[in-house]
Amino acid sequence: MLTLEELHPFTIMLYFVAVTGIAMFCNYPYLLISSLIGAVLYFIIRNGKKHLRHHIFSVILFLILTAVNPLVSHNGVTVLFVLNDNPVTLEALLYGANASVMVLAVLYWLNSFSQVMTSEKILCIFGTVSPKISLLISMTLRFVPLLNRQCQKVSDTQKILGYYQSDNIIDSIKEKGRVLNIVVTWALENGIITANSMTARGFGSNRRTSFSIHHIRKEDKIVMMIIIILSAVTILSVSRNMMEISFYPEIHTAEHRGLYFAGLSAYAGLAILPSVLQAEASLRWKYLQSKI
Amino acid sequence: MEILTVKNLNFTYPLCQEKALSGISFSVRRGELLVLCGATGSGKSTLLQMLKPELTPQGQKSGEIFLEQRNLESLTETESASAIGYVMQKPEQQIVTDKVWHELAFGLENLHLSQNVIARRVAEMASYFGIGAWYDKNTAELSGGQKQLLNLASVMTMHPKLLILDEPTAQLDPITASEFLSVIKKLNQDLGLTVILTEHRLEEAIPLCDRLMIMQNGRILTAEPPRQAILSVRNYPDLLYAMPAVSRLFLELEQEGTCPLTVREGREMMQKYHKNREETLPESPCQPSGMPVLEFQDVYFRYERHSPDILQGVNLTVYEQEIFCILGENGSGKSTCLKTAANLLKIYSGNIKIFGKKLKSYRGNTLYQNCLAMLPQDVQTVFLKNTVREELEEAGTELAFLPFDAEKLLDRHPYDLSGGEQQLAGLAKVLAVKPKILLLDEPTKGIDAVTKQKMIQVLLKLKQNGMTIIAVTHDVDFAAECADRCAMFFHGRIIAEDTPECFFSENSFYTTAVSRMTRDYFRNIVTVQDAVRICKASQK
Repeated sequence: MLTLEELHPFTIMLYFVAVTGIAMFCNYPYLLISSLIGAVLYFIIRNGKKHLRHHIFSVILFLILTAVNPLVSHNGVTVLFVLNDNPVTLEALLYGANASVMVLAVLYWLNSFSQVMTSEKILCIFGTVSPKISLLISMTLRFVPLLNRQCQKVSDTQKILGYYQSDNIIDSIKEKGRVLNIVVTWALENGIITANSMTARGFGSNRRTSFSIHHIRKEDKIVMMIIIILSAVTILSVSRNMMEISFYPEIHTAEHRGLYFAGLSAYAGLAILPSVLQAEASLRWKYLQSKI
Repeated sequence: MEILTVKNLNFTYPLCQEKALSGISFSVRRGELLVLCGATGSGKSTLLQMLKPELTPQGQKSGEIFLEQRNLESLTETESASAIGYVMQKPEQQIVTDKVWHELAFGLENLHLSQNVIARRVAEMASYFGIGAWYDKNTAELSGGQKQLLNLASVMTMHPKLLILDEPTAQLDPITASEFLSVIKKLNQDLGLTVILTEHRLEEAIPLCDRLMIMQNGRILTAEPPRQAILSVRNYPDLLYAMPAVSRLFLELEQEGTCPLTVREGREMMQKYHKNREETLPESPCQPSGMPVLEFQDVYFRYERHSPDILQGVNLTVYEQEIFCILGENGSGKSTCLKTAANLLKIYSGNIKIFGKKLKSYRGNTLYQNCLAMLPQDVQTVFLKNTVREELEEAGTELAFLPFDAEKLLDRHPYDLSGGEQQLAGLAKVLAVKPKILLLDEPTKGIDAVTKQKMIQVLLKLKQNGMTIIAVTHDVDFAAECADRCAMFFHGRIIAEDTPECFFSENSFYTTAVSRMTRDYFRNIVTVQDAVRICKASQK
């Protein structure tokens, strides 16, 4: 099996929409916790010990979000202690913790998403919707760094020519303005060449195809099926109110039945899926290596 | 059989009195490689644009062009897009998309072909051109040569019948340029592809071509196999500058016979002049005599803390009033070396002294006032205004003191000038600060032969007026003609330095065609003028 990031952009997109979508619309604690575990696990498997700061930031965020709710909301029956004549309740604390688990889970998922979905994969998705938009994005992605580099070059040259080296702020703003001005001219001038090169290669003479180097493979179909089945079970379970929870005034959950367990384990499976794929891939390599 | 026929083509640009093209008639056989040359403004580019309907400029046009017996105007957009491939001068600006594979597929996407066909053609072309290794890269990461190769490959995916190239190698260094030309020749041989090519640098292109078409003032002077074509322009000195050194030497020395085109043929010619005794011209006194103005002492530089050293202990001394040329391959650190001298990049170890004073002790912009100036490789970055006149007025250039006539350039937009004119206009702006040291980065890149001669004259004049010039260049002919000393840059340091005569005689590849031709017969002959002198002397 392939890892998630090696799959077709559509599969990746489907996965992240399913896993974050469900987490955002269902506030059942066990579901959210499994989502967070899956998200953190996947993030760590992909990045290893890097991004330590990100984890620290997450812990702090978690503590703040959890602490804020009971200070603001005083609903709930179990009073823990009284602060400035205001009761701090267990229910409010748990509600805050639950909400921050959801925020963190979604943040971790989005983080992995932005690492996995490179610009080129997003282009591939846009390409099937509209080849023109996809071309536009592709050209922009090329053009912005180009413009930046040209700005840098022009301002370097102006520096060697002995202009604008004074420490005067107004002077340096003026310089920026003039550099930008000529770079816009430069961009238009270049735009003509690019446009010529495009028409010379038949741009606008026909409807466009959108060529992509990604293919939907057998693995994609399997993973897509798994994603669809698991999320269908979860959504069914959620929509039948199996995972309802109310915190105030007292924590109250719906009666646990078969569908509840099915839905929860389906979502847990969904959350753990990318980590499993990743682990399977690396195990297989180890196995292959030991055979060699 | 003719693939392309042009009948009595005339063209006038709007608001122009003179015809840009007048009475052009010629035809190209299938599988022919035709090289088109002429001075800047002779109408080469206009003619090429006429052959590609999408790029034909606005203006008054008469005459007819046929591609495979069909009038060019009757082709559909799709047909003309795929049948006529067109590669332009600037590698960077022709690229449309951000990924190499997407660029290769771009034309095919426009033709609305199916995924499978596109995949196959892209794969095929990527393998043929050796693009496989950088197929997934961003186009911005490629070198100039790779970019131009990508432009060629992405045109070739559309299976053109006729390939038109408008000065494709002007922005490339000589080694990459000759590789590019050999790819063109290979396409021509392997596929029988018909090619029309314009070039400034004819040294390499002429031996490859079947016919040489020479244009002047919008007319065709001649369109014959190169040996005859060169003979027929012997009375046009401006056009001759562009011809291979071997052929120029032949025209200087002999009146009759077949014109040689390659170094091998040139050597046979030299044999006749060689009288079995090694001869050389009296050596000019070339040991630098002035004060050292620029010194590098064990200079080390790297871009980032963990990146490799770009400069690895450069030691270099340039003396007053000399022209010092630094040659070397791409990426050897030549340009970086120049930038450190201009204090654009900070060295991390070693010393750079300018007029005996450490670079660090030049505060503010004192370094750039009446002391040191640099003309960067991308000379367009010098300009900020809408006309050259405004540009020079702002800089404070005194036109009367310029070593050349800038009058013609004054009222034009700097971006509209040709490559050579841009160099001159840039130089004019840089000279405003009356520098004593002038740093030039590739001053002859993308300029035609006549302008190059002018450039050499200008630099020599500046030197006479007391300026020290340091030029980084790939152009061995340029260095041979104007340098007092040449240095070879390799792997982050200077490997060898010597007078051009000795320097180029020692090298066997990094040297002029004349040196390669004469080396077994005469000593230390590197330029055409020297070769003419010694051959005439030895005949007496």
